[in-house]
Amino acid sequence: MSLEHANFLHIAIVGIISVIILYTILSARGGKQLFIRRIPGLAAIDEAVGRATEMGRPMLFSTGLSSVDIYTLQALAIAQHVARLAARYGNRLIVPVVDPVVFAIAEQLVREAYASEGKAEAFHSEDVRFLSGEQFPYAAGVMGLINREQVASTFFFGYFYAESLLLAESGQEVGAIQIAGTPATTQIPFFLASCDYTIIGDEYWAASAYLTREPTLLGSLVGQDIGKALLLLMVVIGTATAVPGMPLHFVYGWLARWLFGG
Amino acid sequence: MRARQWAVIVVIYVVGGAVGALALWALTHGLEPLFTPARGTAFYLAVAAAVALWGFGTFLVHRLPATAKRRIIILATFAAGIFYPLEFYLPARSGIFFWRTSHTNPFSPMMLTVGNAVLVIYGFTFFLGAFSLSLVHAKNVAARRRGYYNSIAFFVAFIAMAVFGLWQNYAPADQMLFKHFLWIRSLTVQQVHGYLFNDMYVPLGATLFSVLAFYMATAAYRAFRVRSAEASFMMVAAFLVMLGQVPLGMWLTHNLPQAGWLSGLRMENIAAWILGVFSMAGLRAVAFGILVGGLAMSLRIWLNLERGAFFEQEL
Amino acid sequence: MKQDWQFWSRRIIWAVVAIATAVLLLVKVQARMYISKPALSLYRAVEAVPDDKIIVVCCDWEPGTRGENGLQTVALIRHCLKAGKRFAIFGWAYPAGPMLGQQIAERYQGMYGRKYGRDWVNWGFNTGGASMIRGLAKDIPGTIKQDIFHAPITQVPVMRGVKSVRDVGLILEITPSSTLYAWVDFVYGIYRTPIGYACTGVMAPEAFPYLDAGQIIGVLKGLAGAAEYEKLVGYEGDALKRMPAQSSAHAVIIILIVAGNVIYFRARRGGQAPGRRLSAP
Repeated sequence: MSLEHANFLHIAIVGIISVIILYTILSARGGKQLFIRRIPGLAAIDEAVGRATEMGRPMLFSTGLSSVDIYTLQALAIAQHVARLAARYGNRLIVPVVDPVVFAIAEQLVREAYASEGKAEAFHSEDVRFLSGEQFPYAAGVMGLINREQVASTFFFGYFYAESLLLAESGQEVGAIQIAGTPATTQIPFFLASCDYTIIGDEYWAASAYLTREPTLLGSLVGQDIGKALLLLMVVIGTATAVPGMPLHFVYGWLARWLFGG
Repeated sequence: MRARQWAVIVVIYVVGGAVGALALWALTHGLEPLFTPARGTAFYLAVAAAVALWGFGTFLVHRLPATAKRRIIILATFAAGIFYPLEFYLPARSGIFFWRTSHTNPFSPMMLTVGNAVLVIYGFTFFLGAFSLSLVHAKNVAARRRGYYNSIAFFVAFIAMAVFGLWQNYAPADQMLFKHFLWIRSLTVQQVHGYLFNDMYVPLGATLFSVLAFYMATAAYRAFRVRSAEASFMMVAAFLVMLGQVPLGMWLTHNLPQAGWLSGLRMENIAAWILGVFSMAGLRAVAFGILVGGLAMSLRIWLNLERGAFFEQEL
Repeated sequence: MKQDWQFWSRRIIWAVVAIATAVLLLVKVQARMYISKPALSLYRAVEAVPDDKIIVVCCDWEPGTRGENGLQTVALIRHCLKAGKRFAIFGWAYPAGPMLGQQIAERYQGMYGRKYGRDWVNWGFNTGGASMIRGLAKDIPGTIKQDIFHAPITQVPVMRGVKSVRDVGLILEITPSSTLYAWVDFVYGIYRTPIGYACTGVMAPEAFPYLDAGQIIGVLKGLAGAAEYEKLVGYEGDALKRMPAQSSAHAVIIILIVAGNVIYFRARRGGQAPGRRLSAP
């Protein structure tokens, strides 16, 4: 089964999940009330910003190591929420970035956040800075920033690699309250060990919906959950048919031919 | 309607029509004729035309009202986002591509060209980061802020690495930097670059990665607490995986046979089983969630459904 | 006092880890390593590459991970040189990667009587991400164009007959990041070219779903993977020499975890509430 172009299975899975997501988005926009459970890590953002303001120390927000992709865009959406809170409480938010394109977006975003709270003059352009395009030079720069500025709160949202523990432990050393969220599954254990709150897996995508309570985002979240339930159903059907000895194994050959054309 | 509004509508239709015509032409002829490298006078004319078009386009966009700007962004996002799905979801060869004699997917040959175009756009931002960083450190030095000597070190390192990195790439192998003088021996450009890269940059990077080991020890000491049954299981699994990867753990069970059912109790086999069964299942589950979430976010951005201040800010 | 303890406890832990690791780097201890199935599978895949195909050694790592990826690269390149397999060094994630691979290959080529251009080549660094990989798969000379010394790639003797990924017998991706997925999606998924993965220990769990599905043929996990491969190739390199030190570091971490729990439970029994981050009193 070549993956150069989509086959029936690809189109079916992606198409069905996409339709479900769009349907739930439209339902939510139509006024349907949707529930989202409490996510401690996201609920703690306000607490972290408040604590930093009380201590009179700045905060730091790292958007991870990737360029402008959906992970970084989600991180930037959360960064703007934090920047708004920082502006409201009159605190500094330092945003070190690893990519020049992200730098341009982040600077505009933080500037707009301060301006929307009527604190445009409180924004310092040096607080949003491009450190380096490489992993460990970036980590060294962020560690230095954390230690020199003695930040009281750190936020790590985005795609991280091995430098995640370096950043989180640096925050630990200065006694910062730390909130992290990453779709990088291999870095989650390091954040769990070093951060006060860690957002795992899907909760990363739920962040913008949780913080803004926008119907579109809540509807999308429900659609994602239904999509995952469908995938789970596929796993169950696949296990029931593919494993010899299971009750539905007799349909495996037909199913494989129909789906994979083999 | 006022003249300005008419002008805006005319411009949108003209530009839209031109883009549409270009897209149709690209579908039938491919993008290669547009991206064939120019030579000589044609090259300079092409550069001048590109700069003029960019300047005119920027001026035009600035003059447009905010709603028009938003519509252009929505259209551009949709057009950019539809290319890759069309290329992947349409078959390689089909009768729906009736205008092509070979009936092949017209988007597939454009992949590399579109990828190169994206890289060119990224290239414009290359100096943005370096400029911003230089500005920050220049202000530190000018104002003699605390630790300004670190900013001086930044400039020295930045300039040295940039100069020697570029120079050694284009200079002959025996290009001398300076000849032997008193007790200072001769140095070539290649040697200086070697000192900077192999003897400074490489060890510094490796050192920082090594710091991870120490941080892991403190993180493990602080975080691994047996507060519940789940935490106990996690700790036992962590011990088994850690021991199963190293000779010490392998030595603990080396007396067990390497084949047969008892071999399953050897430390390295236990670790491989935990990694290859339990851990893999959990990772797959998390990956499913992240991928479905990624699909949802991509759909929202592509169809302009994304909400939140960042995506709704005034232009 | 609590602040002093937190300050000093970290330093004590770091000192213990440093001493435990350093002692076993200085003292020669014979390491007992057993070869894991993923490493053995990768070794066999390299051995099985036919003479008319080339191996692509993708050095997508930077100096920071030299301790793991660097040693993996040494082991894999030495295997290719020893077995007389044609190979091409390449990189598309980190600009320094191909240069680091070049240094390694130049260091060991004389040992096996191999020569640049005749037995191996360096395609250098190429940008473009997944689009470039797709283009490379269809047309290697059209995508690469020249080697690291700016010579036209079609004129390098070792590149004879190499036109597309169908002429590649194995792709070895050596990286600390997630560059594997582009190869799996756009090369294995379309052309079924075997792919081997050499990663840092931290990234290894992410490889197992692909290994289980057969999308990658073998994995080298961090320093241990490099040590296993050195043993397979038949030399005692730095990876094998460093395994006792890694054992010692793991043992120290286990002891620290146990000690931390003992201190924690004693404190709980003594009525002292744990701190916000549950650090030891």
